[in-house]
Amino acid sequence: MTTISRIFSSAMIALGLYVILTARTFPEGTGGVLGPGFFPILLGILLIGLSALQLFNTRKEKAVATAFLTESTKRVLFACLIIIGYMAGIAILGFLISTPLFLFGIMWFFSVRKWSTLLISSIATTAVLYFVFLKFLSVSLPAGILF
Amino acid sequence: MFVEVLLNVLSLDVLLALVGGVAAGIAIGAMPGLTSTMGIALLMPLTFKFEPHVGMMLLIGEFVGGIYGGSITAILINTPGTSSAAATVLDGYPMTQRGEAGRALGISTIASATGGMISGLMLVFIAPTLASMALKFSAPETFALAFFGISIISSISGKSLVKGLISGLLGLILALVGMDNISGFTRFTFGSIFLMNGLSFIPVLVGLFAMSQCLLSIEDLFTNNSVDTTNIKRAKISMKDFLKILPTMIRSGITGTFIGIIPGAGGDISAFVSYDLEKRFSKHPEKFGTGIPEGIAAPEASNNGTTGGALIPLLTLGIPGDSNTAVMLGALMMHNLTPGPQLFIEHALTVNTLFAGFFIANLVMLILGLSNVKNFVKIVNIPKNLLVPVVMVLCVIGSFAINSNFNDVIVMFLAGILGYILAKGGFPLSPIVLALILGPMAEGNFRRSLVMSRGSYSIFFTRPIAATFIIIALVSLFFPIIKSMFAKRKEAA
Repeated sequence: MTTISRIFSSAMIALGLYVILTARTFPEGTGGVLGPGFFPILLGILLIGLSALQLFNTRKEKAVATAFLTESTKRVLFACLIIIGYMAGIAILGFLISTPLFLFGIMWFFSVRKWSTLLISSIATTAVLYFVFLKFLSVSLPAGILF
Repeated sequence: MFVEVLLNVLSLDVLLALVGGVAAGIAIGAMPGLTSTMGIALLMPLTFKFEPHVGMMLLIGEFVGGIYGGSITAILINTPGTSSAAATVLDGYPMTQRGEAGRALGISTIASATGGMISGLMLVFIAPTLASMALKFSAPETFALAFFGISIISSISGKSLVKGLISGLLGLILALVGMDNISGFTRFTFGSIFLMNGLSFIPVLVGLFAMSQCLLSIEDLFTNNSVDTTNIKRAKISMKDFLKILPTMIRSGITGTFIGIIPGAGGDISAFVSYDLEKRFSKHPEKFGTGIPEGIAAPEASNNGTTGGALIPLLTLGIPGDSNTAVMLGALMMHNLTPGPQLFIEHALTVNTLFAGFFIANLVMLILGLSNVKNFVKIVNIPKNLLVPVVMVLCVIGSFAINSNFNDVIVMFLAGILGYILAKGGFPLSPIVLALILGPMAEGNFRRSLVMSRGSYSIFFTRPIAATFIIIALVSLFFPIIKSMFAKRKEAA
């Protein structure tokens, strides 16, 4: 937790700097009216100050020397890659084709090995969602660029 | 009006929405790892094509059921299904260990429904009064109110005040993206037309509360949370127990409502506060924690008390009382029901229908809870490795469905990763949402006030309502900071 919080606090300092530098290029307010840059600069300064304080407060805490990539975080990372693949799949192949593939793939990754479970749950879920959203609620689903 | 409300609320689609919402809420609430906030975020896109009052009923039902559902797993397997049921574990599980699971579930059901009804009554009486007061608000008052809402962040930040404030500031900065309301200047859009209107709120919420939860669940995918259902017959409540916990339920319901009204403070805080109060005023405080009826009734009446309470500032002022109502704010906007005092004038019928529906939702919860606990427990036993993928697909569809824009899906995913990193680093999530909503409200009205006063800051201190709110805000912002400084000094000495 400490390591992640340190990295995140450092990232927040960088964000604060970016916000301030960008906001300085915004037009100035006229006649006592605050311009669009006033709040961003104020927030940037506060963010840098607090993130620095957070780093200072945890300076004595020893980050527990665990491997940064544990078995479970690796699993999360890989799942994220599968989701990115799914999103790309939706954009190209559309919802109806990529969803059962995604469900099948990620359930396999989550160690579901029973073929009947894999097939039924991935196809049935897609079918139910398709009918509920498209037919019953008439919400459009991404069709992809191929179709 | 009365007849119209009755016709509205007793129509088939409203009743179906309520039953569906409450049932979904109980199931989602009961599952450890799925929260009621996540449920509302996921159900919201479903309501898109409904009539506004029908859609809102579904979400209110989910809210009410979700807060109650958490108690089922708290009682049965010592794991709260939602954070607001954390206090229910203390007496609920010991009662189950004695073999009285049915009794414990009965008490929690009746207490939740009673707490909810009490908060509903208070909602009906307080909200219209507050709304008519808020009608007189102009820019300085609205700024003061939003500032007060933001200042609450410092008291809801949990263990680390600094981390909570950092989360809040991140939310305020994310809220800057898009066109500035006052000058029309675009900020932080990186030249993208998609970002001109700011980050779409609903995809951000779905990402922060649903997608990030999925990612967190992947970590402990294989921990077994299944419940042995053989011994659970049904939830039951005896007259003796009911009379015993009646005063507790009333007190806790009222306490819960008031805590619910405070922006940012939700069911988790109120449940502990009520538990603590009951213990302190009890004749036998030593029995708390051993599995006594009051120990279940207090947190359960209190956390459902927050449901009606949290709706009060949401509907009258547009300030959400907790993260659930923060998501609901997004839903109201989606249905063109901008919350605030005007809502009570322009959409009086809808508002009154929502009030009536709130009572029916609690009634539905009581009936479902007493008759069907066993079936809800079966849903808890669905393995996570089948459930999480389905929720992920729902996140994707939900964020796409709102504007039929694929960019929203990307925003949702990025928000999910952000939520995951924040949770891993111990940064609380609710300050971001609070800041995301209240930030633009605070900034816009601050600058509008200065336009009104031609640049003089005295406008914030010469108007009594604005000045009062600003003072309360400053106190609530700095009090926890001063308190923690004193605590540290004491520790050092």
